[in-house]
Amino acid sequence: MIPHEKELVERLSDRPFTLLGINSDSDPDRFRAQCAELGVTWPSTFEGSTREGVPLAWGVTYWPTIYVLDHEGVIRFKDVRGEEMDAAVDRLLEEMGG
Amino acid sequence: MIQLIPQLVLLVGGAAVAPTPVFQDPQSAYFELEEAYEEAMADWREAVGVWRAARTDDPKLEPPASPTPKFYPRFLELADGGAGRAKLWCLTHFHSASARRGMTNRLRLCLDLVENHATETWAVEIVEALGRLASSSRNNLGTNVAFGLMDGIVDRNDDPDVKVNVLYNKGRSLERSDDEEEVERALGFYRTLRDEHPDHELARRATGFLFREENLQIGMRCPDFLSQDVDGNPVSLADYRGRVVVIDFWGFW
Repeated sequence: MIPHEKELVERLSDRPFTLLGINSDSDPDRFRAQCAELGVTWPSTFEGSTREGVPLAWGVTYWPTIYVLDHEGVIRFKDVRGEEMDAAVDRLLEEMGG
Repeated sequence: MIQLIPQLVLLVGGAAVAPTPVFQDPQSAYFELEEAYEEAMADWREAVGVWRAARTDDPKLEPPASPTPKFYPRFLELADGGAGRAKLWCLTHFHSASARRGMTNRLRLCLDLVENHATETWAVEIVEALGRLASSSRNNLGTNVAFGLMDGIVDRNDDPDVKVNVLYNKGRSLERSDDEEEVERALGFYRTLRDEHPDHELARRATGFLFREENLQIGMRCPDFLSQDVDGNPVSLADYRGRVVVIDFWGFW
């Protein structure tokens, strides 16, 4: 998961793209340490729980849950992972440029 | 119902000076047995940890046996004696005990619980157990039977908490279905829950599911949210307007 996302974020660092995490870990210190260790540089919320905040409001019941939005904020893909996620993002960036 | 401990009956019968009579009702006998079970489970979990570590050196090492099958007949005895909580225990531990004798018929256990224990203070726990058995997968009861049993509890118990749990558990057992009609039924249960019991904690969870179905489908404009990062700084989706965004619900765990 994280190595792949890191690669995606690095590859598209100069494009209008953001990976936005909604994190459900509970221990903030451990969270900070693991982010540093694994090189999580992209923005992420810290919900503190799987049953509060955005995950609760959005009815998230499984992890990871993934939404891919185009530049107009429309949900275009759900639960794409790995290469599928890359392809979805590339396509939406292309649409933007076109 | 009060049960006299058999050994004590003998003692009382034979003794010249009768000791203070000790009674044990099935309820307290259940709690004692449950405590012993939890202790055995804690020991077992520890043994599993030891086994996992040792397995790297000796892959043929047998894992420690779970205490559940050994405890099952003891709970079953209490269940047969009328202890409702023991019946519920047998119902929820049916699989792990691979129980085959005595009152092993799950459906009979369910009917017994509904008919004789629907008004207990812990009736919600029966509803939750039925919820777990409701899905059509594996050897479960299937939604029709499980829902019928849940309705049987609602008929006998007018506690709003029971009704809320029935609506919620019905929704839960259908919401992940591949069948759109079943998902629609789940939505119906959740809407009733949200509209009739908006302040209940489970209504918040049902509302999340409804939000997902009504606002987070492909082709819909994604709603904004406001949250915070680990240092308390505000984070909202609107901060990234005009960009392609992957929203990733994640955790290290």
